[in-house]
Amino acid sequence: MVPLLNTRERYGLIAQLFHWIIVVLVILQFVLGFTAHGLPISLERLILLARHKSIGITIFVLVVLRLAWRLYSQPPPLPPSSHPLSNTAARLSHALMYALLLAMPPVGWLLSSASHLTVAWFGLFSLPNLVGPDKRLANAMLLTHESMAWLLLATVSVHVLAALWHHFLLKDAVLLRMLPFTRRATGKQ
Amino acid sequence: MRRIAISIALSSFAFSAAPLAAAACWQPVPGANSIVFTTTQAGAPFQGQFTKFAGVVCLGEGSGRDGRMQVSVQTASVDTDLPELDAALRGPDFFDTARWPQASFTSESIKALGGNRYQVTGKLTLRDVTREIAVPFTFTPVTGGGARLDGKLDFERLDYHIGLGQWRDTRWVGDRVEVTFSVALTPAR
Ligand code: HEM
Ligand code: HEM
Repeated sequence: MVPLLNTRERYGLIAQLFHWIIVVLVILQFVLGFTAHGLPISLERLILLARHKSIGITIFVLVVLRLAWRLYSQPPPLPPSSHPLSNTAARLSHALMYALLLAMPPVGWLLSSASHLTVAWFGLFSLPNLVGPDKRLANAMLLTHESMAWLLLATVSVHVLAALWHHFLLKDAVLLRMLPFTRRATGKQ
Repeated sequence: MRRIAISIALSSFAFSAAPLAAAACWQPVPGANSIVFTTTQAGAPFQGQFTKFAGVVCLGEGSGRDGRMQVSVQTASVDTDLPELDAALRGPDFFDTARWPQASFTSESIKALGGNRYQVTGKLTLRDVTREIAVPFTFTPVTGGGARLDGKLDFERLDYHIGLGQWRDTRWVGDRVEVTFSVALTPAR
């Protein structure tokens, strides 16, 4: 069984759950966001964006908890076999993904507030409006949110390619140690 | 005995003459008013307003039974700070302003509730639907010869065929609409 805490060799179950739950939610965010973006005012757009906002807030909370957990339970160091430059690249891209996942929800919240649309979390409670209606701010925030979305998409693509590269070309345990159902996650397979 | 009768006559004169003193009928001061509606979208409060309306209110003596109130609102003046949404609200699924440029309220009776409080009963017409409603309001003379009229009413939008087709869905667009009005009045000519 995968231990709950991270070990020297692999991510523990908690860190893995955080990673994969957030992966699923972020994919949903892209599908909902891009679909809604192409729609005119309609009930469908309203529903897609309502879900997008609720899930986005959830991601923010999960990422904060995930970083707290990361402080509590140190992630495993990268295998000594990997190149120092690739270590730096890994650390930078992870930091960038965390930063974007933390920045996009507040920007989205600001975008909604400036558009005169109060944000509710799955219809259960609503967040205060950060600003009053402001067309120019809304446009600026939409541009920021969109740019961040493209930057996140690019970073995640590199991230996924790197994981696959580790697994299939370098044949190390980097991918396996983030997967819950693998028995051996140390050394070369 | 006579002194008592005179003082009763005088005090009832003073009481009933108060709203009559300046004028019996009043009309909105252009620009200084608001008719704000609040409903919900995706479970969060949502507000908009009508910027153009005309009307007259007359408050009679004593019970106020001879008072009257007439209000007509230009439906195309709907303003939610979201231009695309305003366009949709003017369209056939909502106010259909091309066919029904006015929403109106015509009183049947006005009851004085004591102090500056009144209740008006009358017919509210939105689109092709007319229904009887009762609306409490306050009428407050202000220094300088003007007055203020404040009040609130609520209704179910579907009762008035507002939000047809996909917009009938009350889970995403609330059925209940609350309308608050705060109108500065000047003596009508
Ligand atoms: C990490 C979380 C989030 C991600 C990854 C994300 C991603 C995206 C993406 C990919 C789009 C489509 C971009 C485009 O317009 O072309 C989008 C649009 C949008 N997002 Fe987010 N978002 C997140 C959180 C939020 C939150 C929390 C809110 C609001 C509270 C929000 C509000 C919006 C809005 C209103 C749009 C639509 C813009 C439009 O087309 O009018 N987002 N988002
Ligand atoms: C939305 C998509 C994704 C995001 C936002 C994301 C984010 C992250 C982050 C922030 C970390 C750093 C964990 C830490 O040490 O704190 C990480 C690690 C990792 N991710 Fe992802 N990830 C995504 C998708 C994927 C996918 C699809 C794969 C597999 C193909 C993957 C494989 C990995 C692996 C193997 C690690 C561990 C790297 C290491 O050992 O240092 N990720 N991911």
